[in-house]
This record gives sequence, structure tokens and C-alpha cells, in this order.
Amino acid sequence: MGNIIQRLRSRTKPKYRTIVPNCVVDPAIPRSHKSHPNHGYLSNKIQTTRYSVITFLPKNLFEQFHRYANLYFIFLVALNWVPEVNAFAKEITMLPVVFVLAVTAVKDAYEDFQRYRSDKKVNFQNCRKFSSREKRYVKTEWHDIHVGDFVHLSCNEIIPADILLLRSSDKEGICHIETCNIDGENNLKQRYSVKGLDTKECEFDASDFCNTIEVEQPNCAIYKFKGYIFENEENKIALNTDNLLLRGCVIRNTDFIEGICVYAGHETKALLNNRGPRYKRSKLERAINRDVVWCVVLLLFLCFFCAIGSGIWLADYNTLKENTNLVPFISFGDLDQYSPLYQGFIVFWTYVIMYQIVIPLPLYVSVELVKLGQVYFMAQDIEFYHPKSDKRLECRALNVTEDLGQIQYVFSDKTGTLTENIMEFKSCTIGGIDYPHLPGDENKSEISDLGSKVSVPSRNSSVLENLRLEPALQRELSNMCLRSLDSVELVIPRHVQRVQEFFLLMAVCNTVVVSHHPHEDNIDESGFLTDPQFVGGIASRIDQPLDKYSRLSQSSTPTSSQDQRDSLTPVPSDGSIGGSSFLSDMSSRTRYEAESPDELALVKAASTYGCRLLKRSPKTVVVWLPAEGEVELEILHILPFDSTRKRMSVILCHPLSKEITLYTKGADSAILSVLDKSFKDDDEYRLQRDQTIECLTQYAMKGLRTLCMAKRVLKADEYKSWLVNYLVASASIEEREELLFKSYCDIERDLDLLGATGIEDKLQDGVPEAIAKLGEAGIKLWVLTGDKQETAIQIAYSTKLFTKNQEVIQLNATTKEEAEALLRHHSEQISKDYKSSIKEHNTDPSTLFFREYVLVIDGTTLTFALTEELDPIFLALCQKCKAVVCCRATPIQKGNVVKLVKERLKKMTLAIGDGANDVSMIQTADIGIGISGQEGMQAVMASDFAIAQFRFLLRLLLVHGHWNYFRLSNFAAIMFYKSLITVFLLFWFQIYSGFSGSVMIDSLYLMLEHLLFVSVPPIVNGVFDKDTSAENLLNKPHLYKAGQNSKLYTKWTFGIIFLDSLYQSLVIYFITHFSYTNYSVGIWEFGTTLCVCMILIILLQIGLETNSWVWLQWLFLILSFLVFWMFAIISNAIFFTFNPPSNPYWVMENTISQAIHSCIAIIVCVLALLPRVVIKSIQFTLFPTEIDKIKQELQETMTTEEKQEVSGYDNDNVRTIQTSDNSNMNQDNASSTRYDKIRMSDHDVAACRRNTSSFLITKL
Amino acid sequence: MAPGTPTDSPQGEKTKNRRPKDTKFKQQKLPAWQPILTANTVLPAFFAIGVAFIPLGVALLVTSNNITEFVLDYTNCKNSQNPNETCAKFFENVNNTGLICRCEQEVELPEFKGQVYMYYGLTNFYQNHRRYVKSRDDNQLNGQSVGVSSLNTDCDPYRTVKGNDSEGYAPCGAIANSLFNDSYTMVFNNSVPVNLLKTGIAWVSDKSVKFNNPSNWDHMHKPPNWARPVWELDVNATSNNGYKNEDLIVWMRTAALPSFRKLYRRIDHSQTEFKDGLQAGTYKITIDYSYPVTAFQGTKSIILTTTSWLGGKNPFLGIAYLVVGSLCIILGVIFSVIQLKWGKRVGDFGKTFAVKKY
Repeated sequence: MGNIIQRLRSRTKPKYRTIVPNCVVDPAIPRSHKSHPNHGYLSNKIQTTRYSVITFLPKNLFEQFHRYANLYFIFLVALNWVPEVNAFAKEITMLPVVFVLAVTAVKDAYEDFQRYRSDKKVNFQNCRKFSSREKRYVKTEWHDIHVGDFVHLSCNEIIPADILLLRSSDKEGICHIETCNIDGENNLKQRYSVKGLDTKECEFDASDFCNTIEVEQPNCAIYKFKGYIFENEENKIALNTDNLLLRGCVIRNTDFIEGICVYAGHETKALLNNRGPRYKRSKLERAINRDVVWCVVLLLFLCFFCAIGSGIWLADYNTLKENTNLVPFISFGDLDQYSPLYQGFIVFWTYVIMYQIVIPLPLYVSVELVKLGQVYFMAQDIEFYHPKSDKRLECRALNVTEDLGQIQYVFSDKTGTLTENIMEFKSCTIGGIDYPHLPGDENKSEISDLGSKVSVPSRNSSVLENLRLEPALQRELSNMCLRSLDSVELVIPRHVQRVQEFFLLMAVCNTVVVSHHPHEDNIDESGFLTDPQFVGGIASRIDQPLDKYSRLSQSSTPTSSQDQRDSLTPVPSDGSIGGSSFLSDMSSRTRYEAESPDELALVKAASTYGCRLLKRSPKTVVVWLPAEGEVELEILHILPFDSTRKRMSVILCHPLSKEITLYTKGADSAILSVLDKSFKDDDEYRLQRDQTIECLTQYAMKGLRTLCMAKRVLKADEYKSWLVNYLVASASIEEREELLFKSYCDIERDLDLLGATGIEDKLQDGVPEAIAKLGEAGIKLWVLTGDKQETAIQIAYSTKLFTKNQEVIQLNATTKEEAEALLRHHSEQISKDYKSSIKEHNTDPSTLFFREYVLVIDGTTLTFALTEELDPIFLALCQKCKAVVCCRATPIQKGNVVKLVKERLKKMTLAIGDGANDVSMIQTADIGIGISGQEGMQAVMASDFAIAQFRFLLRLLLVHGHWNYFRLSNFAAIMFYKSLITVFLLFWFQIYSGFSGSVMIDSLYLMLEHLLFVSVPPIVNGVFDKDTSAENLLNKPHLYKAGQNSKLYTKWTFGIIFLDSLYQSLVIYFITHFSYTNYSVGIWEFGTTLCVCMILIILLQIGLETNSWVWLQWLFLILSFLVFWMFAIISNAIFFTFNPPSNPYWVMENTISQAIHSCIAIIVCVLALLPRVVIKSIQFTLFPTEIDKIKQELQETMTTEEKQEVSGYDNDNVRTIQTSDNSNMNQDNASSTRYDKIRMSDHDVAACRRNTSSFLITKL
Repeated sequence: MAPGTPTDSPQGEKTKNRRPKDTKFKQQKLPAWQPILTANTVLPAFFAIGVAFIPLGVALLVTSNNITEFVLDYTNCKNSQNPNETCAKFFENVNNTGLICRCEQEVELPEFKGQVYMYYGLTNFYQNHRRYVKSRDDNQLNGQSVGVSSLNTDCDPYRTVKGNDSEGYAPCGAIANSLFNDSYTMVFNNSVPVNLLKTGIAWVSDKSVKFNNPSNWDHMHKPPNWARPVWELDVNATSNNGYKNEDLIVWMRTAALPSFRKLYRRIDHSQTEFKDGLQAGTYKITIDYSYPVTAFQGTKSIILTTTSWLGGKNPFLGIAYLVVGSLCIILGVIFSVIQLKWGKRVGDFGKTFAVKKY
């Protein structure tokens, strides 16, 4: 709505908006006044609420009347006001509609209130804006920011509006922002203060700035922004996206910024881009809707049948044509109305009103209530609580809870989902020598540290890696350190040189930013200036070296390393790394801020070994080296990482030797292929290389992420000639990317391998177990990762997604033809294997051993596989494989894979991920789950459920998913059953009332029946009922298959309900009918007996369908009947004529005081429920379902335990079966083993079937 | 949620512990009873139901059989003035509408023991027709001063006098208009008239609360089919006159089914001859036949019956109980067989219902 208005408005407005700083405007002019230059721009107050207290009722009603279902019921109410047609009392018919409208209105009001609260929270956040009156920044709230205000923000603050960056604490005017709230990318982006303003040689000062700004009208293009600052009449400074800070982003790595607000509130780009939530409809809901269509068909059929019946019945009384008075019970005012055809038509509409209950109006409302309850208890489940992150399950979508029980495919991200996304430096190899950092005694301290570590954001953490130093490496470094202290002249052995260079590379070849102190602003929260000297002063007094250091880092003049070394001489060197105490002093203040966690791990590891990155600016990098002390190296170039080269490089110039060196870090394949070939003959070098490669394979086997480090010393002329090329490339406009790529590759060759690192991407707790259980539950897990193939396969093995005896099919193709050939080949191969294994064991199919396959496909091949021609083969192949891993997949590809499976295979899909790159698949899948981990909130924002750990998925699906599906299936069935039985009951009476549309049950009861009398127990069951306990569901994952195959609510369900309700209504009606024959019974007594029987039977039926009884179910079931009973008695005890034609005075009392009423009720209940009880118990005894078997088993155990109590004999069958089941999981032929187990457990069950108790109380 | 919403504010101090409460209710770990329906567990229930229902059925059947009932269908009884003509025929002549056709019937009655009631029975009379059921005004019958104009419109076409909207019918509507107006007298052995009581035939609640006479009958007319206005229904007893007339009250309680019987009179057992019911013998019943039923293929009858705690003579319920009871026994036997053959768990009935705390 707002968007449309916005667009309309912008059409009529000029292309640009002019902004004048508010401080130059006379404060006397009110903002709303026309003469105010910034008049007409929205303020920063956001309002996402749809209603106000006054507009709520009319607006909400108007919106609700737009829904088809509601319109239908409004139509019925209107129809009932036509005197010819009316079936029920006019006022009573409105009850259900009013109820539904009211419930929806309350829900809407609640949601709106939530929005109001969240708006309020947002609007009342603090920030500082410039006050022209006080000539300083003052504390203000977000909603009070207007276009033209100057805003001051500190580090880690959220940007309140779209702000034009005018000043940054950074000298260069750079400001880092994190945009993950907007685009989900979690690397930091740089923004620059407006360029032209710097030239004035003075810093921007809010009170001096009086230039007019012209910017585009608000639009939703995030990456587009144009505008000008008018310096004077002629001179205007162009503004672009790089100058704009978007609302919702977070300031990082910058002490403070100042800027002017250009768009505020709803005109900010973030809010213009804010789309409403998607509406998802669950699979069960689709099935329910299909049956609602059946209900409509039934309704029309019944109406037609009755209308025709009415015509025929009326046609019998042909004497009426002569004399209207002859048939006393047909009373038309005049003869014109007497026409069977006309009356049939009229009565048709009467029946439409009468049978309206067949379309279960309260179904939709109560389904929402049930889901609300389910969601509440899911969120309350303590098993989902993750104490480390203090997070519990968060349900963001209400309407797909039961889909959790029907998932067939799970698509998972790897990093951050299966793994912690905490990178830990684990081992390295330098010059062919492996330094395995074996875990030592310090394990304990490491574990205890973990807790504190999680609380620190990964990209902004302290210097020291929580790392156990490798003694050998430590020795080498300390030797070097001692040596360097004694005399510079000493020749450093080549290997030690390598070690140092290796760490230097780790320290510099990255994008890590150093901040020496937490970002501090010179303005406090309320806008007062704090003395930065003062803060620094305290620090300097406490810590001398820091003072020196901080002075150093603040001055941009190069310091000679000699000076620095002198100042460091007093540092004791007691065998540990030089300056470690200095480091530990520093570590409390210095922080590294990295874009990716593995870079951080590397820098921190280097720092732990004494090779510390101290400062980085675009042109220089200052490092502390054990051998040389502090060195400032000039950065000539940074060749950034890209996914094709898979490496990044820096070109450094040593300040003293002026030696130009290229340091490269990258994936092993990317580095090993560009090593110096000329060394091939050098035995030592080859040995080193081979050893390094061997180490790399070992690391990979351990599931570590490997990186290779290499360097190349560039000769001056070589560098110069490259530089020319490079400059041409970077200056070119066309094909710039390609030329740059070429020039990068030109210099990154003939590298000298330094070594390799292994970083552990820690697996989350319980991931292998969860994956194994998901597999048992028949859920196929696909891992879609952007990571490289080797890592992905390693993770697949370490998570037990792949097992050793499975055959891995790797698909790596570079052309489409190749991809097709590969796909076809493997497809055929598998079928052949399958056939041959059948031939080998042609006798007994259950002993068949099938080879299991797993598929690994890379991004390029995936591109081909996802094309229209190949996707059928691809899907066919995937279905034959147990697991699929897609590596190097782009976010879009992830989404496409999910879409393919969802739409082509018509399977229920679930996508789980934590990062912005998973948003596409999370939104595509039937259910999206976000891991509320480290990588921003984007995945969580897009998801339906957010969990803290991957392992929680197991419980979410197997327990809550199953329960929800089971509950809602039962719930929907009961809702249909209720409506059908009521309608059929009314129908039978029509045969005996001349198809006149007469209703024998008091319409008040009929209307309240589905709202009050029988509505609560199904809802309670929908929230509380359990077919079996959480433990059972977790221990026996195969129970999940019932939901996967939609076994609980099938297309036959409605048919069974139909027949059952038909039978029951027959029993109720005709037993009552024949019992009351030859009895002076009035229509209302007759109806009351029917109604009592019906409600009793519905409630008993609900009871029969209840699987586990907690006191709530008892309470509500009994209460429901009592409410009806009491309502009938009390309402019948009061004389009122509100509801013609029924005047129920004393009817209930008279009816129940007659013995015949009770006699009818008893026999009707028994006879009506008999078939269901018989079929249910026969089914349970002879054809038990999986759940039934569990119940029986449970019973066995209970009996055995009962016996144990007596005899002390210990034989816990079930538990032993379970444990053996689990332990056998990893052995070959897992699935067939499983079947053996099931058979075995059946056997055991049979063996111990003796005396059992059938009704038992268990703790569920 | 708007993207600008601070969901993960770094400054926001999350000291709040979000750990859910570990209560049995919130963790859905309330103690639960999980009954299982197996052949084994329903077996005893079937036998129990069978054992309970069969005697009950027998009792109901005996009760029903003990009731003496006599039904006289007089739809086509002879006009006493013109023995060649039945009364039904008599009313086929439109001119005779509103007249009375008297017919006399001699019947041999068995002995009736206890309180005897006289009903009239109508068949094929759809008192439950939607438009018919609604065609009344309960406020008017309640004696509230309902103006002619505010009479329930459902009473049409028997709401206001045709062509004069300020004059209404009392009581209005099709039900009242079609009031059953045959009357019977009964003479025992041609000499002893059986005293029939007009009161005590309607519900006490109806008579005392629902039906009341208004303060005046201004602008009110007798319904077109009636011979007398409502305030002259029983001139002898004011408590049975006007809307409080019990014949009217009984008629106004519309029947559920198209064949119905309504209580007409109670036999006065204060007469010495009929102290213990009705004696067996010949009774002459004189019927003032004025209610035509042939137009809708209906029949009329007089029913004399004693009563029981169950109501009238109807063996249906008793038979139903016997059938269901036997069915349950049969099912019980079948289930026993199933249990023995496939269930492998011979019922240990004592334990079946053992509720166990776990």
C-alpha cells in the first residue's frame, strides 16, 4: 500500500529532492509548514501497524470481507434474511460468522499490537543528532530524526536512516559497514565520505555545513544512488552509492561517523525493499482443501436432492390448487406461490443455509489455534535450548508446523550448519616438515574456554588463538628470536627463514583489519564530548608499552625497526617466544577484525607464534617479526581472492632491502599447479613438495581445510613490466575483469612453496548421530555447499553421511556433453549392479545386498545437470543414490536444486542453512530452517523455524514434526466428521418433514455446537495428543515414514469419515425415530434427544481417537458435554421468545426426565461407535501399524518391568534392541541390518508376549 | 519485521536467560494414560455390554407388552345422519366445510389396568413442515400485548384479517388455524358415560408459563377455520379458556413426525366403574367429525392406552436392546477366537484394566 502511494507520489514529483541541513533553517519554522525546505519528507518514525484504535474495526472488517470463505458465510447470512428462504433464526445464523470474524480480528489485533511494539522498540532506539540550538550532538530517538538532520553514530551502532556519509573517524574517510541485514552478505563493505569536501582542508563540521543537497527521489534500488552537493552556484559534487549508509546496516571498524539524513523512515531503501512474508500452505492443508471441495460437492448434492424431493412431495398435494385451505400444514398466502418448481428452487437456498455446516467453517480458525498451540509448545521445548548461545527454537511461520512431519528431502548447508563455523588452526607443514599440533594436556582449559569464546563475535576477537603451541616450532622461533636479539649479522638457517616467512605470509596475506582498542567514540551516548586524551591517558599510565605502541600506530611516519627493538630490549626472553608478555598485555586491547573466520584463524595462529600483524592501512602493513622486530612493509598490490583462481596474493616491498615479494595463499590445487617448475630437478625441493602434498592429504583425511602458502621474489624489471600490464588492465573499461584476471595469473606463477596449513572447521555436536537417524527415518540428506569438493567429501565422511563401504560417484564435467555422458553412464551402471545382485540372490529378496551409492557433483556440472534436458537423468541418478553432495554451488543453484526436487519429484523438502547464501533455498523449500548461528540473521529472517544447532533438526522433525502431523491429521478428520454427522442427521429428518427444510434441533444448539460444545476437545487433542512418546520417536526413526508417505491423512480418510458419519447419523436418527413412534413427541423433544446423542457420540468419537490422555483431555471432554448439558438446561429454564420458531422453554427438562431419552442415548452410543471400535481393535490386533507395534512393545516392557519388580529379573528387551541397532549402523549394509533388527524385535516381542496390561499410564 | 529492526543489536545486553521453563506442562510430559484398543481389551467390554443389554431389552419388551392399547381408525366412519356416506366423503363437499359430521362406533375393549389416556392420532400430517412450525407467535400466546402490526410475520397468511391490517387473528398462524377440532364422547355398555378430563393433558410448564391470556382481545378475531373465538374455547372453566386451553396448548406443541398422536383426554378414574382402569366390554364412541384429512391422504384415529415408565406401546427399543446385546456377545466370541488364534495373549482380564503409574 505504502509503496503504491509512494510510487504515485514520485510520479508527480520532480526527479530529485532537495535537502537543506536543518540547522540552517530557522528553528521557528515548523517542519510541517510549506516554507520549510525539507517539508514533505517523511520522518524516521516507522509505522508498520495496519490499524489504529479507531480504524481497527471498520478496516479489519473490510479486509476480512475480502476473503472468499467469509464472503460465502456473509452470503448465507444475507440469504437467511429472505423470508421465503430462511432456515434458521436470522440472528442465530450470524453467530458463527461473528465468531470467526471476531477470532480473526483478535488475532489481527494481536499481530498488529506486536508490530506496534516492535515499531516502538525500533523508533525509540537512541542515536545522536545535531542540535543547532546547543551546537552539539544530542541524544535523540530514532523516530525524531528528519531528513536534513546531522547524525552521529559510533562503532557497532545500527544506522537509523539512509545517511549520506560526510565524515568518518578514519583519515581516508572510510567507514566499514556490515550489510547483512539488507543483502545478507556478511563481509564488511567500505563506504567513503563525500570526496570533494575533504579538499577544503578542514574537517567537516556540522555547524558549518550549509550546502544544499540534491538526491534522487526515494526508490528501492539498493545499489543505485545519485545526487549532488552544491558547493556553490556552479560547483557540484557528485554523490554515489559509496557515500550512502543504508538504514539497518551496522557500523563496523570505524570509531564514529557523521552524516546527513537524506531518506528517513518509510522512504529508506531498506523499508522500500521490505516485502511481506510469503504465504506457505502445508501439504496437509492442501489435502484438507481437496476434501473441502468434496464437502461442497456433497452440499450441492444434498441441496439438489432435497430440492427435488421437495418438489415431488409438494406435487402430491395437487388439491391445493383448488383450495389453499385443504392441507392445513401447507400454508401459502396465495395460490401463485404454489408451484413445486418454484418451491423447489426456494427450498434449495434454504438447504444451502441449512447444510452450510458441512463446510467446516471453524476448521480454518481452529486449525490456526491448534498450530498456535503447537508452535507454543515447540518453542517451549527445553531440548531445543542451546545454553551457549542462549537460544531456543524460534517459530517464524505458523502455518507449516505439520509439514515438519512429512519431510522427504533435507537440503543442508555445510559451513555453519553442519559445522560450527569456528575455524581453528590445527596444524601446519613448513618446508616439508609437518608440525602436527597434537592435543595435549591443555585440552581441559580449551574446553573451558569454549564457552567464553562463543560469546565473542568471530570476526572481532582478540589476538591470541586458543592454540596449543607445537614445541618444535616454538623452539625454532625462539632460537631465531634469541639470535636476532644478539646480533643481526648471524646467518639464519634457510628452514628457519622459511618458518618466519610462512608466518609472515599468514599474517599479511589477508584482509584482516587491526584495531588497537575497542572502537571508542569521542562523544558519549548523550552527545557530550568526552576527552579522548583522558581515556588514552589512563591507558598510558597503566601500560607503558601500549602508550608507545599506540603513539606509533597513530603516527603515520615510519619508525625504524632499530628504535623499536631498543624499546623492546627489556622484554625478558625466558625461552618462550620473544615479547610474549608484551603480546599478552596487548591482547586485551588489540583486536583483529576479519571478513572470514579462516583468515582470522590464520592471523591469530601467526600471532601466537610471535609473528604479529600490528597495523594495516591500504598502503602499508606493520608486522612484528620474531627475527626482525617491528617492520613496516609497503603493500604494492593486493590481488583479491576470486573463485576461479582460488587464491589471493599480496605484493610487498621490504622497507630495507626494497625486495619485492609476492605472497600467495590459496587452495592446494590452485597453488600446486603454479609452482616453479625449474626446481624440478632439485631433489631437496621436490622432497619438500612431496612431503607437503603428503601432509595435505593427511590433513584432508582429518577433515581439515587446507591452504597452501607460496611466495615468489620478483625482480624489479619483472615487476615493472607486469605493473604496466596491470595498470592497463585496471584502467580498461571493457573486459576489465578478464584482463585483470589475466594479469593476476601472469604474476602468480613460478611460486616457491612455503608450506600448508590445516584449519579445522569444527563439526557441531551430534551432527553424525543426527544424520544417521535422519537416514533411518527415510529422509534423504543432500549437502549443498559452496565449499570445494575435497572439503565437502571430507565433511560428508566425518558426518557419517558417507560411509566407507559406499561407492562415491563423482561428477566433474566441463561441458554439457560430458556431463550427459557421465550421468547416463552412472545411471546405467547402478541399474546393472542392481540387476546383477538380484541375479546372484534370486531366491530371497530380503537378504539382497545392494551396493549403496553416494553422489558428489560440483558446481559446473550442476549447471549442466540443472538444464531442462539433463535434469530428468540427474534426478533419476540422484534417487538411486543414498546421499548427494553438491559442492561449489552458488546460492541460486542451491535454490534451483531444491526447486527441482520439490517440483519434479513432488517431494516435501526442507532446507537448512545459516548464511545469506542459503536464503534462496530456504525460501524455495517447503520448510526453511535457519540456524541462528554466527553468519548474520538473514537465513533466520527468511526461515520458518530457527534453531541453534543442526542436531535439533532431528527432534524437530522426528518428534514435533511427527506429532504435529499426527495431531493435525486427526484434527482435520474430526472436524470433517463433526460437520458430516450433523448434516446427515438433519438430512434424515427431511425425509419425514416433506423436504421442507425443517430443522428439528434447536438452531441455537446447532450454531453453538461447532463453536462451543464440541470444538475445544479436538483443539486440545491437536495440541496435546501423542501417538507415542518423544523417546520412542527418536529411538525408532522409521516411525517417521508414516508422515513421509502421508499415511495418516490419505484420500481415503475422507471416505472413511463419510461412511462412518453416515452410519452413525443413521443409527442416531432412526433409533430415535422408531423409539418415538407411537409416542406423543414434539419436534423439539425429538430434536433434543437427537442433539444429546449426537454430541455425546461426537465427544466419544474424539475420545476414541485420543491416543494419550492427560488430565486436560479428560477435563475438556467432560467439560464440553457438561457445558452443552448445562447450557441446554439453563437456557430451557428461561422463557424467551428470542429465537423463533423454537421456543425451548422447559423442553430439555421434560425430555431428560423421560426414561426413553436415556434408553435411546445409551443404545445409540453403543451401536454407533461399535463398528469403529471393532475395526480399530481388529486392525490393531491383526494388522498393527508401526506405531501400534511400538505401543505393544512398550506394553511388553512395562509388563517385564513389572515382573522385574517382583523377581528382580533383568531383561529389558527393547533397550537392548535399540543399542544393537545403533551400533550396527556403521557396518555394511545398514538398511538390511535394520530390517533384520525389526524382525528380531518382532520376534522378541512375540517371545515375551505373556500377561500384559493393556491400559497403562506412561510418562510421555 | 522491517530490515531496520535491530534483531541482533550488539549493544543490546542479553542478560535475559531465554531458557524455557522445565515444567511438566510446558515440556508436554504430563503423566498420560495410553489406552490401546486390541481384541484383548475390548473383549470384556463387549461381554459386559451384552450382559447388560439383554436383560434390559427383555425388561423393555415386557414393559411394552404390558401396555394395553386400543386404536380405532375412524377416518372413514359412517355419517350417523346418512349411513350411506362416510364422513370423509361428507367433507369432500366443499359446502360442508365447517359443519359437523357425527359418527358413532361401537367397540369391544379389553380390560385396561391403571391410568388410561385417550389420544387422537393423525397420519400424513406434516406438523413438522418448516413453514408450518414457524407459523406462530409465542409472544402473543404468552399473553404479552402484541399489537396487530407487530405479530410475527411468519404467521402469514393467518396473521391479519384479509384486507384489514389493523385486525389480527388470535392466535395467529397456521398451527392455530389448523387446530384439531374433532371431539369424542364414550359410553360404556350404552349406559355409563365415561368421564373424560380436559385438563392435565398439557405440559405443566407450558400451561403455567408459556401460555397466558392477554388483558384484552381488542382487534382480535377467530382464525378462519375456527368455529369459535379463542376466548370461548372452554367457557365453563376460565383456567382452561383462551390461550390456556389445553387442547390448544397440546396442538401448539408441534409433533416431530408426520404420523403422530396427541393426548386428548384423561379417563376420569374417580368414577367407581372405572376405578382400576377401563372394564372390558362394549363402548360406544361418538365422534363429532369436523376435521377433514382426505385432502392430504391422512388418517385419524382414537387411541386408548395405558402407560408405563417408558411411554406408549412400542416394542422397538426392547428389540433393539436385545439385538445389540446379542451382537456384542457374538462379537465378544469372535474376538475371543481372534485373540486365541492370532493375538497369542489369552486375556488376563484382571490385569487388563490395571492402571499403572509409570
